[in-house]
Amino acid sequence: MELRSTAGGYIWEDSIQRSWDVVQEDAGGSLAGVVAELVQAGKRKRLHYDTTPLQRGIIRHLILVLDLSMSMSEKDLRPTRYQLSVSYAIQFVTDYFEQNPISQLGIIGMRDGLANLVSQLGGNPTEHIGALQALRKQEPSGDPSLQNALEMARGALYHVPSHGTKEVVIIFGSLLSCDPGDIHKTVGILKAEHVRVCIVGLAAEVAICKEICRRTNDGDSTSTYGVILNEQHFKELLLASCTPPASTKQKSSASLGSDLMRMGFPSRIVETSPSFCACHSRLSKGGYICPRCKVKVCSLPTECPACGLTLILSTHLARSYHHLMPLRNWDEVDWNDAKQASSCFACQLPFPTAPSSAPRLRVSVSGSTTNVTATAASGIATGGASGRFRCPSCKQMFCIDCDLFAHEILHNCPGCEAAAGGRKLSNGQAATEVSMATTSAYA
Amino acid sequence: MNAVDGSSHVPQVGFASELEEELPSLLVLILDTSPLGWGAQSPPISLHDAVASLLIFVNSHLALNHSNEAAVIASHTNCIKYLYPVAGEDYGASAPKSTATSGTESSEEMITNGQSNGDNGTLNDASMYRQFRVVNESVMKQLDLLLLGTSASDIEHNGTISDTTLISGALSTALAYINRLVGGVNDNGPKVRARIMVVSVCSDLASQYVPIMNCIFAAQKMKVPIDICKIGNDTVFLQQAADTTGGVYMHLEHPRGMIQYLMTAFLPDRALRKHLVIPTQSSIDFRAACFCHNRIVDIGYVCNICLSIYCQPPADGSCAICDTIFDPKELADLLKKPVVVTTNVPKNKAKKKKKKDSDATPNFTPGP
Repeated sequence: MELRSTAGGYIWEDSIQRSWDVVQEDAGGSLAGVVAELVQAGKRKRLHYDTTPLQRGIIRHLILVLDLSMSMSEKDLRPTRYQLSVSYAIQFVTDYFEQNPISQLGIIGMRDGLANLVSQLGGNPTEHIGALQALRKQEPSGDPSLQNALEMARGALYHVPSHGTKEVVIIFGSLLSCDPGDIHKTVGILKAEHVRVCIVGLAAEVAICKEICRRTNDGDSTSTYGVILNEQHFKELLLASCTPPASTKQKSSASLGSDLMRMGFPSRIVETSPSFCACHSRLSKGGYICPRCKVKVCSLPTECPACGLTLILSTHLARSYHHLMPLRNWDEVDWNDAKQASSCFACQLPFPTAPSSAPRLRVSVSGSTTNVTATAASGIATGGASGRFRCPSCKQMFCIDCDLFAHEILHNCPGCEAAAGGRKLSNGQAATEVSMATTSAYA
Repeated sequence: MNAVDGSSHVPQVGFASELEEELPSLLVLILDTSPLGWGAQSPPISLHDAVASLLIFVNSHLALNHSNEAAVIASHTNCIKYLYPVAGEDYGASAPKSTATSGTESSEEMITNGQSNGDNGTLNDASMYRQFRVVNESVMKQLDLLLLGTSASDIEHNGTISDTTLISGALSTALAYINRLVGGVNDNGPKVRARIMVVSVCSDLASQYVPIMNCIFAAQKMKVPIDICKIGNDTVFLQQAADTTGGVYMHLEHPRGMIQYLMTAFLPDRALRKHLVIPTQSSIDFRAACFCHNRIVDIGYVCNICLSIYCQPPADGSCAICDTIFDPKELADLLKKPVVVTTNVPKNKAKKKKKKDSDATPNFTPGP
């Protein structure tokens, strides 16, 4: 947080800003307009995405470390830090496997100066969620030990093949760490093994956490270590780890990270009489047959329990394509160009018409906070608050809900898809798309 | 208002709004209007007959529940178009409006005329249920405008008539429309359940694979099933769409009986499908085809940077799509062949080939 204010002195020397003055009733005495503006401002803030197509590690192996120490029984987050962390961890598990279906996850807890394995490194979300639900019934106690947790994580990630990423995400609510040895040595070993650590702090910034993040992420500690401001921010920081991390250049030539992996693509069978599946020994009437050893497994993606071959469907690979080819940001349209479209191209919502000389609230977005200041416009509507967003490729206009939907859930631009000739891509991207299509459409 | 007898005073298990069966349902129908596609289907069924069947289907959907809603989107070769509801049109007008191209008629004439003049097929029957008439008129009028407005240059591509249709654009638009209508989920759950139905005549387009997969995953996240009514050749992408989202895929063998397929397999909505056995295609081939030879592979090699699939490790040691160079040691590991050891030959003449691969068993015959 910046200590110097823009006026030159310290921020505590500035005049008092009453943030509650923002909410003012309009002529009719209602707050509906102010609330709507605040909601719009919140939506606009979420619209800045990083859309450079980076090379990302798609096969991920991530260890989630939870702080189960005494400081987690603080009640500054409802109902307690502990309960909220476990709830968000369950949501993290669901989102992680949705975004990265061929990856694996393990969970470790720090309690009483020791590290406990909550859930083994595996690819099945129900197991992890079951283990987390069982954690809810326990009480936090003792002190956390970062070194023990990192050593256990390192051991769990030791056998990961070189084409997978090794990551650790720590939810840390304390201000200290009780370690049996020299934690700096551990951090050095982690760096040598290419393990990347990311920490979400709940209390305050702790120097050792910053050091760990800085050393394991090639000097970048701002995007990997975050301290939460409120519950919403906690969720954002935690779920930001669901996106595959960008690959760094700091890999030695021996382990380039670019590998060819052998995978099996089983086909589904439907049987007339039930038979056992190899993974759970449960009777079922259908399943998938491993192409190498012909054993039946009940769900994908999984590793064949008999021969160890990774079994996936081509749809699981397709889930990660939007990380490799992200959707471009759309530009906000100001009132001068706003007359070109009267309704949203995708959902047919009628756009608001240009206002006349009535006073409007001007919304400005600055940094991580949003200031909504009430100013009386002089009759000329300025600024980008026309509520229209234009895609730079197809030049169609969309409303803010469609913008959020397209960038967060759909990852397609409806206008570009609806134009003959498809998206305007660079040649490399177009070639990639065509080849991906031919690999999944059989002749 | 759906109760016809006086049984509403009998206490029910839960409030009506909490039961999924009572929630109104939104049906978004995506109609593929590619001229070449329908031209190829012309002997058994024409676009005109199909649209007539589909309008009956949409009317039946609206009749099932007073609050049901519908939307129709046309997927053309070079654009997509909302056939109903169209932005800017006011559907609350009480007086029936004429859509006849021969000029406007006064309302008295229409009432006395009763049925429409059969030449241009518009439905001016003032005694038709208003919701049905509004949808039917809008669809017919917008479809006429769309097809009449298509010039030869729109459907030609490099000199040949293209068999393309913008299914990915139509799916994206439909999902955005559903997102707006279902949107704001409050504590009681969504107020409307939505589903998409696609009537398709064209085959797959390789360039639309990634956008269609994105639409499928978005539909899966929003819990919107995608039903497919396929006339003509089978498609892989749409089969996967129906399977992943929990929809129904039917390939019409006798397209002339389309209305029967629609009414039995596609009309029941999500809540009813739990209680019925719906005919759908269950054998779906999920195997992939390799990029280099387009062979179907059971065991493939996947580049972990760009996720492209090969049937065997590429000869030059680099990925053809993303140009990453693979580790030669790893490639050599993948190419190892199993050891062949023969035990009937005296030891000094036994030949050992390359080192044993860990997942292959040696091929030997046990001695007596």
